[in-house]
Amino acid sequence: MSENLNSTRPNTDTPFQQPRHWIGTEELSATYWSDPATLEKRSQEFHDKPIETLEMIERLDTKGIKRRDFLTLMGASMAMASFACARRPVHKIIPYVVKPEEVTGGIANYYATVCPETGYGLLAKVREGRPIKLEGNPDHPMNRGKLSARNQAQILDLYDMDRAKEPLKVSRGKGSKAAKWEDVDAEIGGKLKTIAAGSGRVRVLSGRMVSESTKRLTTEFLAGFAGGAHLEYDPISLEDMADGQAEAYGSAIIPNYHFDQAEVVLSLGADFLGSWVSPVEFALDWSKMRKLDGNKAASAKMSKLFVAESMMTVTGANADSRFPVRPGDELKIGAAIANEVAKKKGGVPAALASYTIEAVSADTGVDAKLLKEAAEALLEAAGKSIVVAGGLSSKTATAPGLQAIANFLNSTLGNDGKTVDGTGSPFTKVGGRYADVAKLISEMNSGAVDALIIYRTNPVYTLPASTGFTAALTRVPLVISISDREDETALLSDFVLPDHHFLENWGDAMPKKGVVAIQQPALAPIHSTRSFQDSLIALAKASGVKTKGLLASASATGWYDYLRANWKETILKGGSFDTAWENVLRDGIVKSASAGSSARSFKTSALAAVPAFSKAADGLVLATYDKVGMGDGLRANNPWLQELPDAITTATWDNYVAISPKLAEASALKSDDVVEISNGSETIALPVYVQPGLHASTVAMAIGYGRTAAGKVGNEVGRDVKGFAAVAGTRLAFSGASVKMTKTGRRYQVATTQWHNATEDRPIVNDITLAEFKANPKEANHTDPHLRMETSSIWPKFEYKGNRWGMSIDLSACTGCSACVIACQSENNIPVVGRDNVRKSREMHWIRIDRYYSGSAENPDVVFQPMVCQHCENAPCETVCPVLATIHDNEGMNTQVYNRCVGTRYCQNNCPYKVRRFNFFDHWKAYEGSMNLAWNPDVTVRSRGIMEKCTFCTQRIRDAKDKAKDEARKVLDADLKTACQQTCPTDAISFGNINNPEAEVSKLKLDPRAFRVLEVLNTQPAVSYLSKVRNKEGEQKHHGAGAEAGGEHHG
Amino acid sequence: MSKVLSLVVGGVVLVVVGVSVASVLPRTSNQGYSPTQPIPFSHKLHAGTNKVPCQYCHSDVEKSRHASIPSTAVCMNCHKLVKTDSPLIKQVAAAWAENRAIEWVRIHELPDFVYFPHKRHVAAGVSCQTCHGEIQTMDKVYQFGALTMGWCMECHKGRSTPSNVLEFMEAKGHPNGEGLVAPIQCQTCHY
Amino acid sequence: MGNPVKQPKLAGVVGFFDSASSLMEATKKVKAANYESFDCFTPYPVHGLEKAQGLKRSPLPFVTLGAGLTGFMTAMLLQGWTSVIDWPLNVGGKPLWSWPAFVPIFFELTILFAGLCTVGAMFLLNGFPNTKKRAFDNNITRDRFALMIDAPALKSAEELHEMDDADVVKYQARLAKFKAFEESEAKTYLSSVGAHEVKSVEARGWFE
Repeated sequence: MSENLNSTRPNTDTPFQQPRHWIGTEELSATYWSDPATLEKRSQEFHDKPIETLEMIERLDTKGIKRRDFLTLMGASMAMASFACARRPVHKIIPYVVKPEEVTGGIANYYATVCPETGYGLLAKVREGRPIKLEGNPDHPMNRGKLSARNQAQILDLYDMDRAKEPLKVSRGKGSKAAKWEDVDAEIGGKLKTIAAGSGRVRVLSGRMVSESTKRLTTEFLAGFAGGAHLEYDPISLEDMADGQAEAYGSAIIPNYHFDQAEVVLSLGADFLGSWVSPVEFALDWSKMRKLDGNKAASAKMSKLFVAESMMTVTGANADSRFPVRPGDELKIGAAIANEVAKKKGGVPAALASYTIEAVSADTGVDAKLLKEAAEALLEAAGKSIVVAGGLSSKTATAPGLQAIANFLNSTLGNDGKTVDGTGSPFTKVGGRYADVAKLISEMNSGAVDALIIYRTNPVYTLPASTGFTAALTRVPLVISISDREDETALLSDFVLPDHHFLENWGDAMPKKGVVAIQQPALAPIHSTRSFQDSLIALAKASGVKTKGLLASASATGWYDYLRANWKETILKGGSFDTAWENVLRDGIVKSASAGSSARSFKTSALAAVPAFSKAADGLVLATYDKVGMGDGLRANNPWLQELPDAITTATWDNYVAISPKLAEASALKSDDVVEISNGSETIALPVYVQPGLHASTVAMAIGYGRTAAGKVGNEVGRDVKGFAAVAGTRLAFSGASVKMTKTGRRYQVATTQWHNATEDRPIVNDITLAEFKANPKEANHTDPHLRMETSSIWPKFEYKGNRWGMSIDLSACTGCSACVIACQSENNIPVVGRDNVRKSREMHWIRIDRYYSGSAENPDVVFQPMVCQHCENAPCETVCPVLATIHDNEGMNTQVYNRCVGTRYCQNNCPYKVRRFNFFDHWKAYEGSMNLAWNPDVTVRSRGIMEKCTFCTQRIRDAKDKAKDEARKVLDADLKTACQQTCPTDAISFGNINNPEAEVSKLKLDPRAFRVLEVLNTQPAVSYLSKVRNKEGEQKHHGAGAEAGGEHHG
Repeated sequence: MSKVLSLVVGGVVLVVVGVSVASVLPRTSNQGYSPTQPIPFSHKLHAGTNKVPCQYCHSDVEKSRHASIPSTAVCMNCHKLVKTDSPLIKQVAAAWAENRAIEWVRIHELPDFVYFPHKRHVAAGVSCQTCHGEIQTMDKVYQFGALTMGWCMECHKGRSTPSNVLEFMEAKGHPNGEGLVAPIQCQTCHY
Repeated sequence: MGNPVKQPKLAGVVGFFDSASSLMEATKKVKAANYESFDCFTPYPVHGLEKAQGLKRSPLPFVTLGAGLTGFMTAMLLQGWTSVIDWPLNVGGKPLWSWPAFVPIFFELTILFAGLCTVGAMFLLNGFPNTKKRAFDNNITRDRFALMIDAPALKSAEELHEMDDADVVKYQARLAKFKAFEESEAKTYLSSVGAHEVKSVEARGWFE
């Protein structure tokens, strides 16, 4: 029954059959399993001797500088003071001079604020005057209490040691000198005065600005100059969408999508669950249509997701039907489906006539049947479906055509006005266009720009050299960089006026129509920084320019007063302003009723952007994409994000070239082989990553890497691929270029975490189709041993009277976004270990997202499984601890006592789930200076030699119990959310008291879909999982086509 | 017989020597620690003679895990008018005027890996004096309790618990288990 | 003149044999001859010798048993009190009284107490610590077999006078039970039962 638990290969006695759930394409070949090196590598718990790559590892040299890991601590960097023979040190305890009324030591205050980039509402948890954790604001209509991984990591940016701490005179890269605010104000003010007098032109170049008050201030500031203009630019821009909307419907907005009302979703390249437009909001809504009740299985309904994309993304991984295509071919897929849909709805427009399903299927390799199925599903769900398109990987020269097709489909299907809201509450802040930047560059080159203020954008890093921005910058006499650090752009400017972090600043955010949020500081500025807005006000004063509006009136004594004045004038009109203001500060949002939406009329002229059908050329095509964690790379100095394992590739700390298994085989390449990618003018060397689910002609690389001035953490990590973005008319095409790939013979080990934990075909994860679920919600993969096992015990179970904590994780809801990983890291003081330690399997994350493929390597199904400490009743780890540092408490949790642990590591050895993390070094020492303010004071900071693991956020449980005891009642669901549960956008994690039958988690544990991992071991885990259900007909295919039982081998 | 006698006597001597040596070895607790404070605040005068309640100054003790050292403002509440000519009070007033916090020397300190909530103990009826001794008689505060884990456990296990606390827990029906006054789970204090 | 020389006391007479079998024969005879006390010395244990000598069974096994049981009970009390009564901890869902886990300590303390006490008791029963007697020949543990007839501790006339009558009677009764010991007679006897060398042994302590 359980013999196979000890084999490292499934079915050792029968002809080779690929595993049901595999991690990489290596596992699909019989030769891999029979290779003794495989057995040795897989049997290592710590991959400290990666067998085939150790001799061949070569550090990627960048300009002769050795790439440094993030502070590899060999114990020599700091001497530990020894108290062994010393007297007890004198510690001071220092109270306030005047204690603020609202501060009670040990009790957190929550301040509502907003993220100025996404517009999401946040609650900053402030302890003793400093924020230590960000949570979503439940009252904010967009993210409704949830945050993404990037949002959660923003707290560490506040305490980043590489922030600029005072104004700097930078002298265009010749070295920077610290300066005083008065001095820079006077100097810049003088220069601006001259410019104003000479009717000079001042430009403000910023990232997307969702703050209307800041926009107003900028406009009013620029009004003092004869030629003043404000333009916005982000590398990941929404220009295609905005322009497409303008072409089709007349207004350059981005519609709001009601994924919670969509029965069918078609995504053409848009990673709406991971990184596109508003992923937290979309994931939250989308997941509502994916939740299933096992007790009502027969009548179950769930939405269906079709995704056409070139690089595997989180959205593609959650697709029910996925079409891997070349970058740019998303347009063809969309057009073919539109062609089919239009046939039944008013006739096919001329622009789409050439995109028949047969032609597109032949060209892209996607099965015509699947395309027809998509079209039929959309037709059936007309008015209750959504088509989205966009994203960097589909931002080719034909991107406008792609948008036109998406708009056409939405209008034809009657989605516009229902699930696609362009009038009620669309995203109004769409950012800038490359065309504006191109104009700016030509103005700069012709000497027509006298002063350029760059705020919160890094064009020297994000714009490719071919745009000529860096060269044009030298033609501008005065360049002021208002950023948080001396980044690539700041180094080439004259002055750096360091900006506050958003947690230190006032502001507002109106990302959508009807959403008005306030940004308030959670702490006083740590360094001598000044907000962008205050800088503008100060410079306006120093330069003496004539200003208009609020800036001119007496109330502009500072940004705070300006903000209030603007709000009084434009938002909180009438009534008692002060009361309304206080209410907004408390809620974080101006509460308003949600607006309905009406359909817009589609202008068929928009379809002119669709090119005529042409067969794809041979050769490799480049897709550039942004990772969920790193994004555009402006946060490269955030170690949490660098070490966050990518949801799809589980890679940390680097970027790589993703290629399909077919291409890898044809080129005789394996993962970690270094190749050179060249488009004729640019060449880059990066290691290969064999990514299942890619089109054979696709070569994908992530932007956001290869920074040179991010800071100690982010410099020299990965390679910069923006050079491959090409100017196509008035836009930047990031993807679609033809490239060549050449082998170099070198190897470079990308620090991935996927091989650190492998299923070995054991009953670990379960995924079924909707058809199987309807027939039998308990349907399980036929693993050996079976998924749900009856186990018996030779001794009676402990009785848990009172609270008993348990958790349920819904695999159907988990999208793999990894927000929980960062939330846990933030809440529990989990350290960062650096690239080399991740290579040795020593990453410290308490919750990890295991990613498994099943089916064929060319287009696999993906399932994500968040894995935490299972808090087993019969915990194997507790039994073997020689000092009883880990035991079971009376509330069902496996507890880890840090001060008792002596670092034997037997518990880690014995854990079948491999969830225990060991501090091999004093990783906490890597947090230098102000970074120490980020620690959560409620959680012990662990030193070297201590074992740690998920504690079910025991400090939160303690607080909830404390509160309940105060009120003399039991702990309820509402009191208590673990960090991972609180931030998960799709509510995949449910935690609570399983002794309370009313608790949500108790009900979920009784769901027929529920199973526990490796139940056969009789560990009795407190964490149960709900099987993943895909909206498919028939049986879930686990073995790829051509590898049936008793059949042929692969490769 | 003399052999056995000599053995027994030898054993007794060994035990006596061992115990005496162990008793003069340094302890791991800081019991008795009594550092000099920057301003010699006298609890005997304030809490004893003038009967100022503990919670007047250490006001957070019912709300949070920390008992909190009072801010200078609390001192000045009275000493804006009371005994303003005293040289010691003048030091406090100087700190107040300069907006400078007074840096008291910490006496009662638990290691970083210990979680101790004052709030729960106060709510259970444990008096300040149980752990901190008769503070109201101390001119110079010294650490009265051992503040070691064993010392805490004695009370949690019901062995040295004050009677009012025993009654309080009795009334609650011993939620921590039979015979236990307070939880003895590791995670109660170490997480 | 000078210090009076102390007259060496006689401990007994010893006869050396050249084989275990001859010693065995001699032992039987000497036992039959009813001397009060004699002892055999062999470099290795000779089977049947103690029976021939008429030695009683050693009480050592009872010491071992008692000590072993004490050890077992100590282990049981130690583990039981700490794990079940004083600080009950749920380790891996196992019951508080997890006797399979306790077995190694049961075993260990049983053996420890039994072993140490046995060794200690054996030393005591063997007369250790002993500073009163000294080995009479260093080769006893190497290759010589010896039989020593002890000279009984005779009380002198003065001592007899000081004793009570009952004690005197006991003393005399004791003497009467056994064959009287006389140095040269005993030596001759030993030669007659097969000793190839006979000599007298002085009573010397370690420090003399």
